[in-house]
Amino acid sequence: MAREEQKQTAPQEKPKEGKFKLENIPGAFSKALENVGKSKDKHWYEKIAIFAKTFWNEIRGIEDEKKEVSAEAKAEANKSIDARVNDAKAAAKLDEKTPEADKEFFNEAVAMVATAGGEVPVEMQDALKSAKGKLTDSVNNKTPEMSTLDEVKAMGSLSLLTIAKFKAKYNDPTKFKEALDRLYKISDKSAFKLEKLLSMPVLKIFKTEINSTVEGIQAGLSFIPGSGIEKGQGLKLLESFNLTTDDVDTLKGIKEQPMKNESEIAAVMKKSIFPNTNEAKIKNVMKITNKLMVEKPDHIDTQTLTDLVFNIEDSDIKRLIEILTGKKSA
Amino acid sequence: MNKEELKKAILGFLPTSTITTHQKSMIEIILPGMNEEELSTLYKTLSTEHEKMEKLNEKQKRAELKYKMMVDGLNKLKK
Repeated sequence: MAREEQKQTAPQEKPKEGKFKLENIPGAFSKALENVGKSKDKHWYEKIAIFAKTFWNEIRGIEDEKKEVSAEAKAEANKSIDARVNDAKAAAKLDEKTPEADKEFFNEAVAMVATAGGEVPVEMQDALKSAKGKLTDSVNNKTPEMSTLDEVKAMGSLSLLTIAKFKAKYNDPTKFKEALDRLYKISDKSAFKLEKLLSMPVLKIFKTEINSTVEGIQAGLSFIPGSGIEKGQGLKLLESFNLTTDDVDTLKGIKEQPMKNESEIAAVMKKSIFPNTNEAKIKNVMKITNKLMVEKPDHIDTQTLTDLVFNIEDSDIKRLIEILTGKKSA
Repeated sequence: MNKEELKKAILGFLPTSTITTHQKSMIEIILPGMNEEELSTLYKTLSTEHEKMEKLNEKQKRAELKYKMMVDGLNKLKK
């Protein structure tokens, strides 16, 4: 419409410099001009103000239309998001009174876990489901049955996938630790208190009658819990990591105080567990793991978890996930 | 569009979309786990918003240009 008016009233010739004529102005401004025209006795500045006010009233409609489009997009985006995370949010049962900013932060963490869960291969989903059940029982102070190797692998995959996502979002140690601290605090008012999830009594459900084979793996990975598994299954897992039984015996030195065969352990870790992580960082991981095994704290604190995560290269975390999910063999 | 193309297109809309920062974060997080149907729905939401906003922005830009022209014109009248 405005364009049509503009066409109808468009000047045939360009107005000469200094000969500006109101009738040559495009029709979309007719109302503003009309108001200015009615105020001939006003000062020039007042005329500008009258024009501006009328004009902005006219174009306010555009802003209103934008608000409508934005509100529609937000509502539709919420539907897409809710469809993916509503179940997980419901399971987490965060206190409704939690401040909105904390709720959003918590829900982002929940979304990471839910998405990570979806990335665990289909054939491992049953094991993941039963592992989650055991975890829930343990959090609720029940004593679940010992975990199977499949459950340990599924839960290990879920943990590492979640850690990888968390690390990608909070990509330096300070931000990561701050985010973990915040999550510890907020999750305290939910069904899954992070501090409890990372407590030794809960983690213990993934660490049962450990034979020497798997104990070695657990020592190396520290946050991928061990399992009371059949020796045959353990050997299969060892092969995936390119670990020999001698390597496993070497790795056992990590739980001694002082640590035994430190350089040999570092060499095994470099060869089989963290091939893309440099030696200095591997030694840091070993020190942290040794401290955990010797001191046996009640739970893994945020600083320890941060130190572990940032001393391991992302490509090695990815590799561990691939091994646990069976996507990669050494 | 296949799944990967849809994901790429959705991520491309996020910087200019008017949805909240939290919604943008959530979309970035859940995107890898979305199926094709969910991706198509989200793509439609964001592409529609983008298209409508583009038109409105253009309309506003034109209006503002005309406003500037008017102010210049009135300035000349004053002289």
